[in-house]
Amino acid sequence: MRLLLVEDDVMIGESVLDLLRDEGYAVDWVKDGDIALSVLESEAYDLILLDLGLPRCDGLTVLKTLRDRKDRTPVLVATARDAVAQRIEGLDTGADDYIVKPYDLGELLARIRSLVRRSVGRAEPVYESAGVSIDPATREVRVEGQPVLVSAREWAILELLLARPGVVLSRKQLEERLYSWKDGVSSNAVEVHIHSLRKKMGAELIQNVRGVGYLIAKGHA
Amino acid sequence: MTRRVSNSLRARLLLLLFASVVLTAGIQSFIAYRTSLDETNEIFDYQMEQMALSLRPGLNLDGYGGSGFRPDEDDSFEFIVQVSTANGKILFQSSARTTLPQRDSTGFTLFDARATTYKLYTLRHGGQLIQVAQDRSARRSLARNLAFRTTLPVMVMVLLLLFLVWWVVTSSLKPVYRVQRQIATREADSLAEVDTRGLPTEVRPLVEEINLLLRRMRQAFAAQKNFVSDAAHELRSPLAALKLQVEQLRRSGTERERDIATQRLGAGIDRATRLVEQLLVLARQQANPESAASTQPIEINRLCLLAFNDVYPLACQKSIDMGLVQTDECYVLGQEEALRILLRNILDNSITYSPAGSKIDFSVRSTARSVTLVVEDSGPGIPDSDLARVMDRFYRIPGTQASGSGLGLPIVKAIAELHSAQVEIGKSDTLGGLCVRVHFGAWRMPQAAPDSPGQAGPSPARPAN
Repeated sequence: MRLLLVEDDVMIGESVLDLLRDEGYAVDWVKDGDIALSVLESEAYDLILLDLGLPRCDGLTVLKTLRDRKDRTPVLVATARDAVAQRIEGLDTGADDYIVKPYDLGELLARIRSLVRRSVGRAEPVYESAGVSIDPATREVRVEGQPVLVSAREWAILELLLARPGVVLSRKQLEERLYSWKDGVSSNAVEVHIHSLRKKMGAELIQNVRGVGYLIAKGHA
Repeated sequence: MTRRVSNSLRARLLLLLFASVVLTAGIQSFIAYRTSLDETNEIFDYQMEQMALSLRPGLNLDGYGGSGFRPDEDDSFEFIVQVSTANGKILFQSSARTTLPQRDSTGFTLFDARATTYKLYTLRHGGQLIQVAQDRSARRSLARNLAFRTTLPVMVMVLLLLFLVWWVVTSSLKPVYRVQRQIATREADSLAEVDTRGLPTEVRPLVEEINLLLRRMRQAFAAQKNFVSDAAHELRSPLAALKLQVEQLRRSGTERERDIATQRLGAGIDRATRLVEQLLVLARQQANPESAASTQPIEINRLCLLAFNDVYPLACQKSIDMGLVQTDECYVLGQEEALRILLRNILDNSITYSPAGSKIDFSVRSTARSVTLVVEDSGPGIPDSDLARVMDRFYRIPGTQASGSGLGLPIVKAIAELHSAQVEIGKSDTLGGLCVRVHFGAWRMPQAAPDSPGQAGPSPARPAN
């Protein structure tokens, strides 16, 4: 999952960045609204974590511009401005959720999970298909009920494929969602992780559509 | 109740004016009554006199040809006329029953008859005694009626006057009552000004003062509201950072991660501490406009040295070359501690926002009338578009990496205002960065007035506050 962090406070930004990366998210961090908008024009994110009090172009303007462009990326507003009127304005401008600083990290992560889940059209917190189930909250992976240990990247690939079972994702799409700007992507990194996943969970789980990409089949195995 | 009456302007006016009107009218009626009574008496007397005189030639002394007319006994004539000879023979008598006493004395006398008192006028003419008598009680009641009628218009006028007084007093006080109603019926937290239209000159200054007070309160509330909204953001951000930094420390596994987390947490605490300190300084400066009492002449150079020492370690840390360029000897009137904070904040601002290795020049320039503190640096300066806003609380120039509290220059502004000094922010001509100038009025030692009260010379500095 790839997130865009828009935050002008350096101290908050560097901590959130590190903590989210530890959680296995690919995170990019921008410090003002103008840059956020230009980045969002060219790149796709699973979620935007947006501060409202930004220099140059404030958060609400970013949000409005984004929604005017028909960009449906989930936006979680995280701000210190807590007046009810401001929260209402934020939500009505197109935010999907609102969290007030100082927030609890656990709550932030839960809200991120919930927004991502909703954005792929799911309500149930555990993703399950083809005999594999993953729980984004506990990061547990089970194959036929048996727990399996996977690395952070492998987890991320599983999460992406299981979020929309039956949908083919290209290697490029997977790479985009897996790596932030700071991570150099080696040419066959995705293949390496998929190979490792097949070894752990069975060769049939992740199917390869030649020349197109990968998918996990929908329904029971 | 008595208290309310005596305190109400309207009640007092009405009471006093009513009393005066009634008293004056009473006296006037009394005088009119007495005067007209006296005058009526005189007229009656004159009538009796004239009646007696007119009877002088009318009777034949030799012939006894009376008219034969005898008035009825029970006729009660108010007037009785009787003519008699000198030896007592009655020649004419208007009333059968009452014979007037034939008195020797002429003029007015009294006598009792028929259960009443008569006033008798006796005129001696030739051999005749002409007498005219009048019932005194009838005469009195006539006189009283007449006199009473003269007081009637006064009574009517009194009623009219009372109504006029009531109307004038009530309508004159109407604007005052309107203001009272306006204030009484407003919302409890309304600070809207009171309408002064139509108010009498005696009350207008009072209401205008109240309006001034309301306006000041409104401004204070607005400032407070802005501040609360800004502070919510500015106070929460450091806390949010602290919370995340603690979380990071808690989750750090390796030695290196822990070091980074600890260092970040330390920086976060420093930032929160500094913010709280700056907020307190600002609040203290703004809450103390009455501290003019503790102003005194302050030697600027000594103050500069103090402020310089406060920030010198910071400058060293960033290897910033900071120095005093010009130091004119001069004094300004003010509070030492506040001015020290002002200077420290200007220097601090330059150090925080200038890159390592920059240069900061500091000078004190004085003329006969003014003292100017100048701090210039070779840092990035402030773009023209932001110059107007850098004095606002919590304003930070977009894109600034250094983490200031956003309160340094607002503190400078607040202290300068307290000292009636002007702060000017611009570009430094010599160093290219920011240039902050603070203009004070100079203080001169009073020359010819050694015993002038208050600040007589740069006495040993009292501790400010």
